Amino acid sequence: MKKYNSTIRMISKTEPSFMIWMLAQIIISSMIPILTVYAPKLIIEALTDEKSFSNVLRIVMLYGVLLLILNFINTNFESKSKLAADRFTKKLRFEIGKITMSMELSEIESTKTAEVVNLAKKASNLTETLAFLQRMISNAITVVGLSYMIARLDFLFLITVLIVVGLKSLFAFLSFRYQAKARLLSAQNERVGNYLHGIAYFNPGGAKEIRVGNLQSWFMNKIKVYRNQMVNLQYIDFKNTALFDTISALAIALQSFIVLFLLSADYMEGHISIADFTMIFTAVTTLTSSLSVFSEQIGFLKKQMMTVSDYNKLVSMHRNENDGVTGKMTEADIPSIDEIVFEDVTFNYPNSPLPALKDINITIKRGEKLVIVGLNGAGKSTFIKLLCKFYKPTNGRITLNGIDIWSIPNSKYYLFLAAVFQDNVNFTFSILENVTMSESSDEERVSEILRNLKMDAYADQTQVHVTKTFSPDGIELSGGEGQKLSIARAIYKKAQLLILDEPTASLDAEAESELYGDFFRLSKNKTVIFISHRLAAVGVADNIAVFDNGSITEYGSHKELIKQNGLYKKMVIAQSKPYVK
Amino acid sequence: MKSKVNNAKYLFTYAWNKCKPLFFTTSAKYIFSAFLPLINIIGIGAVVDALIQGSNRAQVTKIILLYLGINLCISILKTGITYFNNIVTRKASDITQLDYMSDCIFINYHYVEDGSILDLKNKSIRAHPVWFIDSTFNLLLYILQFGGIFYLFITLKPWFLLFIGLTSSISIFLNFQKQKFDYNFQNAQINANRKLDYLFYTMSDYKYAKEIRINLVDRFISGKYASLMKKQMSELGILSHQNLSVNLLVTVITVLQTVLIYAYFSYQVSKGRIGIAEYTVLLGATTLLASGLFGFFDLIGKIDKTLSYTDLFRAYRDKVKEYSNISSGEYSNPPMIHWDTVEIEFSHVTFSYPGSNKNILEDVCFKIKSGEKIGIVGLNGSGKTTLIKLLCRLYDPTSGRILVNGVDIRTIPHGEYIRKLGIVLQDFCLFAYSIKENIVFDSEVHEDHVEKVIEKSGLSGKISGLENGVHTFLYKTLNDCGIEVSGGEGQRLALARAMYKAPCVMILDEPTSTLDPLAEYKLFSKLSEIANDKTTLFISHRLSSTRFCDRIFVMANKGIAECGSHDELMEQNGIYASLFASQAKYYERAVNKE
Repeated sequence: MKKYNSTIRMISKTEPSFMIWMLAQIIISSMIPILTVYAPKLIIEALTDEKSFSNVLRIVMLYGVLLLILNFINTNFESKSKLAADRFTKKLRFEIGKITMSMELSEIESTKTAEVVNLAKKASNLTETLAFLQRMISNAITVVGLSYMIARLDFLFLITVLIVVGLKSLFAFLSFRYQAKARLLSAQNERVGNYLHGIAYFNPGGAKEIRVGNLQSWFMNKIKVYRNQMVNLQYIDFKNTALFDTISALAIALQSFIVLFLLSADYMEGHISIADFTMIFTAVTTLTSSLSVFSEQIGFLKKQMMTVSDYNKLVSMHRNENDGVTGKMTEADIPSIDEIVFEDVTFNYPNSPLPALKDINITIKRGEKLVIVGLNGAGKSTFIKLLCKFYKPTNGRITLNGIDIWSIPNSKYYLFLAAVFQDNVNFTFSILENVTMSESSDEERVSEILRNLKMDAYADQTQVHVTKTFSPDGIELSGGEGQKLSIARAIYKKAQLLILDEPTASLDAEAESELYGDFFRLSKNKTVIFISHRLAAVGVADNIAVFDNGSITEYGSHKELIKQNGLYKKMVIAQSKPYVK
Repeated sequence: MKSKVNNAKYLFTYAWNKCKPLFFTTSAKYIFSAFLPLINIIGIGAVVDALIQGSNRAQVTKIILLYLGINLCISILKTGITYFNNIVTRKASDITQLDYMSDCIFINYHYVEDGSILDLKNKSIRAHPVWFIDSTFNLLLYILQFGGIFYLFITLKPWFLLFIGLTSSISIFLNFQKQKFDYNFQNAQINANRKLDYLFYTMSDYKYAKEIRINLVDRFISGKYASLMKKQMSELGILSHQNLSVNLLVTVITVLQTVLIYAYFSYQVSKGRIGIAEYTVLLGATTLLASGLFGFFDLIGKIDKTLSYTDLFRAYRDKVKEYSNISSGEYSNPPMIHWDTVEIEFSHVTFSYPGSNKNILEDVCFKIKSGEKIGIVGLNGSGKTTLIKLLCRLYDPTSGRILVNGVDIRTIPHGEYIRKLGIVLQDFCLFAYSIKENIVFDSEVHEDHVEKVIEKSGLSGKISGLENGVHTFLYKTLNDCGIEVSGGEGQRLALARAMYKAPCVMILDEPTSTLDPLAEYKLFSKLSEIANDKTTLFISHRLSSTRFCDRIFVMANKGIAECGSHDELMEQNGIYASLFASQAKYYERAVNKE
């Protein structure tokens, strides 16, 4: 019941008009079948009583007028509720999108949350469920009306109907329970199907790999296995349906026999008129079909309602800005970054026994250029993630001008920093929007930044869309260009702290050396943190932090570190050997 | 009209070739379904008739039993046939689904992301051959029912049938109008929905999460979604309004028809021309006829719509066929190639991406001797990756030829050719299956070979630390115990995969971009071992790595600007030398600081 309540609350919050149209439709559409059963009885009665034709005609006309009004309203409501349903679906997806955007990155990256989000996405099919619920309620009202009509005449008929329907429901319930098991299997299989579809349709990397790896037959085989499993599950379903239909046919035949037999007996004994006879028979038939649909629907609805609780689970994950705050949210304005300090910061990824970072202590001063180097998996990216407030330190704290960053609201904190990530992405928007990420934009500045980054080709056509997906004259950016676009975005932001996580992986040598130059020129007065595998960048660094196994093992200027004769020196030698004779 | 007939023939042939039993089960299903409502109408009429005639209980019971007996038999037969038909239909639509899947596996790489093809595919699904067969046979049901009803009406005035036909045809006409609105609208809607879906995806997918947070753009994206949604809803509102007026008209006509039918038959009864039993039968039959006519033409409208979508279906099929020439081309007599030694030659190769007239490569000519190690360097956008794409047959040259041992690679069957290449792409893709499957796929399993390539690629340490070793799944997508791999580990795995093929040519696109300096150095010093002395091409941004190759191609100006060993190129003092200097500058400075 709680589920139904929360569903109703959810609808009234998102799209109240949908609720109104649905309720109205329930009432109207349940009346129509009762009218179509009852009116013919009146007409036949008038005819058998040998009333004058004009009398009969009057009843016919009245029936017509009522039918017209009901249908007229029903059609109107139907169209309105359909539209409202569509709006509701779109709004619901919007809500889900907004909620996920509000969540912390650590949540987004956990598989558990991903599951919740995926399940909640299905809640956007809720309108189907509701349309279904609506039909069910109308059905229920029809059932009550018809039952009353039948019971008024002879209670025995109603009991026959109920017994037959009860039998059918029992069987429907049993087969539903069986199907629930099958559904679980098919849900697992669906996961495979979704994955395979994702590779086939929306994954250029996967598409390339399949082609150059000659994996077509391997892949098709995966698809076939998946589809076969799905088909086999459905065959069981078909078998169930066939069995169920056969039993229903038998039950209905039995019921019809009993009803017809009793009715004709009643008629022969003069208890009922022929008009009653036809009406009751139609009423029984209509009632049986309404009730059967009803009992099947209940099972289905139960499953559909699951999506509502999935959605509610997601809603409970909505984050406000104040969530996750350490201590009191700071109100003070922070005019500039003077100092960022990591104090004994240790971090464990959830469910990971070993810390990714341990006891990190480092101070980054205003205007400092810090380069972070280290082997793969040493914790460099984790360091950045903590600084970006994507993850919260397990121990210790990070402060900005002495204030814990977790007590600075995101809307303030993120104004200070811009970042280019290793796995940078661009949006299927225009070049301009990709750089400015807002409605209002300084086009001249964008062009200038693009020119500075040697993307002259795009500097004058910033309205062009990225990728052809939505615009036939969209452009496909190469890996390096995509990265430059992300860099342009970071620079446009006018942040005081710039973070670059290996920005040069897909840049060529010349672009790389230029980029270093351009970048440091553009960020002259800014604080910069730079992760790089390529030690070439260290030339402009004030300090270098060497990460090894989750700790900072070496820290200092290039000169100092070379003197230390540690990991840093080993790396420099390995990399510069080919260049320096 | 002629094209529609053609389309119908096309769909029939398509379905017939894919699944013949479908035709039999579907027609049988509808034949049996046709009789059930008629039997119900006549049966109940017979019972009423017997009652009014004052027959005795035994007679009435006999009629009831006969009626219900026939009904039951046909119901059960229908259920059985429907069961078989469901299975056959499922199988048939499965076949079409598989076709769609194989299309996107075999279509030339260029079109994978082509929005217009995706659009066409989505629209073409509306011309589903299985659905078409089903609806066409469904027409049979109506025709049989009409026959039965007509028989019942033989005693009555034919002009009454005419009246029903007329009123029905008005609502049928209106219904056609409505469907036309739908058709136009849905086409317009697909594009708009795609945009909304993309925004939803952007909002909810983890891929964009970092970018959205750090740039505080949730409002910007929400705003985009909201305005697009508003625009779409107002468009939808207009259509719904148009539809509503048509629907209301249909309602009026239907009610009018009902009223007139009742009035007419009641009049006949009051004149004593028909009895009450006939009255119920004829009323039932007329309602069946009216709804039948409506259903019949509604179906015809839908079939007609399907036939118009068939143009798109055929266009899609043709396009896919045309665009899949690279991997599913036919090879009349494939040449014999000895793969022991592999010489690669580009002969006057010019290339521009399909639909673009900007040449990426122009008149590129070179030869690579068997066993040579070639490093390819150049600025971003100079065509390095394109060159590799051509060699991997992701694209075919616009003009010119690529030869392997003197044979144009386009004449070698795609599978055979690709099997000989070991390729590590820059944006390689690992699949959510086990490590071993990611290396071996469906080729023959040689355990010791698997072990060897893992060892060579530097993954043995990582894998021996895993509880399930090579059987460990990647990612949690399909297996909850799956593991995540870092960029460097992934690259090594991709390398192991390429090596496992024991390729005759090794192609590496930036194989070390995510490796740390020590790992990179180690990998390059082992390059000849990895390449197994086969012909090797690799792209690198880091010129240091080119020291390990026999020759270096420097790409610029849509072609190969310089070519030679490191020392030769340094002596030339051209592009390479300046590139090298610009990189070395940093290292020299770094070392000089000492």
